[in-house]
Amino acid sequence: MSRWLDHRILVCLGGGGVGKTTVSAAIALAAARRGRRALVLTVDPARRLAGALGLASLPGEPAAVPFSDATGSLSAMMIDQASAWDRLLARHASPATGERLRASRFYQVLSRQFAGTTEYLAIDEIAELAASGAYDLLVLDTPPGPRAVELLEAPSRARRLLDPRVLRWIPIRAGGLLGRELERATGGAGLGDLAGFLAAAGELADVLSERARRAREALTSPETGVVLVATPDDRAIDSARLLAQAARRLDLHLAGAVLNRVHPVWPDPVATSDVRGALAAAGLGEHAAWLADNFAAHERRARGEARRVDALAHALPAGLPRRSIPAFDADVHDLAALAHMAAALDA
Amino acid sequence: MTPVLERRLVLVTGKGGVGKSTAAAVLCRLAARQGRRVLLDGGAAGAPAGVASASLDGTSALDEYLGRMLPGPVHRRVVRSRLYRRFAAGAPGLADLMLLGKIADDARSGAWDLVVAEIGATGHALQMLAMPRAAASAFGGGLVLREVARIVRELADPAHTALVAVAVPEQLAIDEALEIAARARSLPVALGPLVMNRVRQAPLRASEVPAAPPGASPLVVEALRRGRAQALRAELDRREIARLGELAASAVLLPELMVDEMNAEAIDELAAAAGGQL
Repeated sequence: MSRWLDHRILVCLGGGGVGKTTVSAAIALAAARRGRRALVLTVDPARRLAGALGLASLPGEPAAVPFSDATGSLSAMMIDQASAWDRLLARHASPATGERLRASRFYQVLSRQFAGTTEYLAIDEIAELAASGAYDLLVLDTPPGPRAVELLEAPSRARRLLDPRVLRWIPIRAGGLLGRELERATGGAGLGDLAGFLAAAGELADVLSERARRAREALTSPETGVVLVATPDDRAIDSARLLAQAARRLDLHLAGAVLNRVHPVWPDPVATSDVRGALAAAGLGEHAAWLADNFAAHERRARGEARRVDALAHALPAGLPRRSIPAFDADVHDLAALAHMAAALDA
Repeated sequence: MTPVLERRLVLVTGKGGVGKSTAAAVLCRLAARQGRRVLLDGGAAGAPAGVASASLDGTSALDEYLGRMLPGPVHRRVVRSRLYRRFAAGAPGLADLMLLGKIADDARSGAWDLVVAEIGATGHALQMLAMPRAAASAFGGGLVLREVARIVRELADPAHTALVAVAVPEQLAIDEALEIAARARSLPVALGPLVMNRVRQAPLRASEVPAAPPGASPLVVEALRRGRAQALRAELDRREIARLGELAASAVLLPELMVDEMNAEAIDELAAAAGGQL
């Protein structure tokens, strides 16, 4: 795992409910404990993560996590769609263009609701932070499954959309015959607004297109790696397999796989009656029946998990680092629990 | 209140990964065992014994719908045209509306006593359930309005429909179940019982699991650790379930089975546990 931590950017991918956000934070913590400056970014309004990190909420820009046992540092932030757009404008648009865009109804909708824009902004933000040199490692938590693939494709899609030919074409059409027809059909004065929005956005197109190119470069750089996160069940493992394929298709490098919430297997096969006998012999006869059945049920599950973990290992490139995080008895809700996970990752 | 299995249409949703297919299979199995003719629409994991199944696909539902509306040759021309294919794939919400229309049709066809439909994860399902009302306000009159108005009425009728939210005893899953219940009330869609899946059980509290006696073998220590972990999880599960408030009273609890595969035997075991609670 220490080799993973030498990456500049780690992107955590996995299906829903596998604990991606917590694993992302634990990876960043593991790096911080090795003396590195680490930042974990999430696109989820993850209140629980904030709580586990000792913060009231995750802010829209990096906030230092108070932790003391290392020379490194740990920061966390949430990528908030609306404020990220506003920051983007502040950085790249002239005051007049920024003003025109902010006043546009389309900007309001686009910046707050439009599918895919959070994804683009997350990648843009991470490329910007990586270039700033303020952090040694950025860990990006992503939305579950297919939405994460959209996130990784975002720079390429943005570049296609921002093609100046496309941007110039739309306002002309919007003002022409087709535009008037559409305006009659939709009954709104919306297209005038759209044309104005696109004209103002066109001024930004070169900048945004260049940034999308840089974001794509950052993602495919050998210093960027994908960490697959899964729990040892069929659904999560299928998801991880598909995401590994998607990552390869997009020219991203795999850095490793993390199996979360793995239950321990007892080394030798043992009959339930032997467990019961051992408990009775130890003077625990009263609850022996339930404890032995419970032991056997856990064992069945653990052996099923181990089979699935092997199946995933066969589907991934040989030699890809893999780490298991044991299932804890309670939810990870504080820095101490997160530190246990970090230790398992850094073993 | 009409018991859920005596309604005609049961719609199943919930957070991704909570076991919606398991819950749907359990409901189907219980109804089938009562001798009812059951159809499972859109089941992700296949239908249990004695239950018919059909797949759900928005575009083919639209084709089917147009087939009923248009004369054969016209229908074939329309469905083959590129413009139509693009429209069917691209018009927001249209596929969802058609899906819901198909499910509603199945439920009132008379061919089934009960239709159980898996309508996907929370976000998408709630969007889909809002579609008929949105369509009713978009269409001023005519055949489409009559159809969607009928679906709106049926969805709200607690003698006809039950929306079943599935959850596991974890914070996010329960939050989504609460959101489903709130949306069901405001839409309105008649709400059925909530199904709480993978509830961990233990006869003892964690504090009652004895400590390992001095010199105990590693096997005994591990058996006690597993017992304590299970008891603690069961306590945490009960605490999460209590967050459901008044919804907890009607919740159907399915025990965690710790089996390797949700096969017919496992579904039967869960159906036996659920049967007493419905």
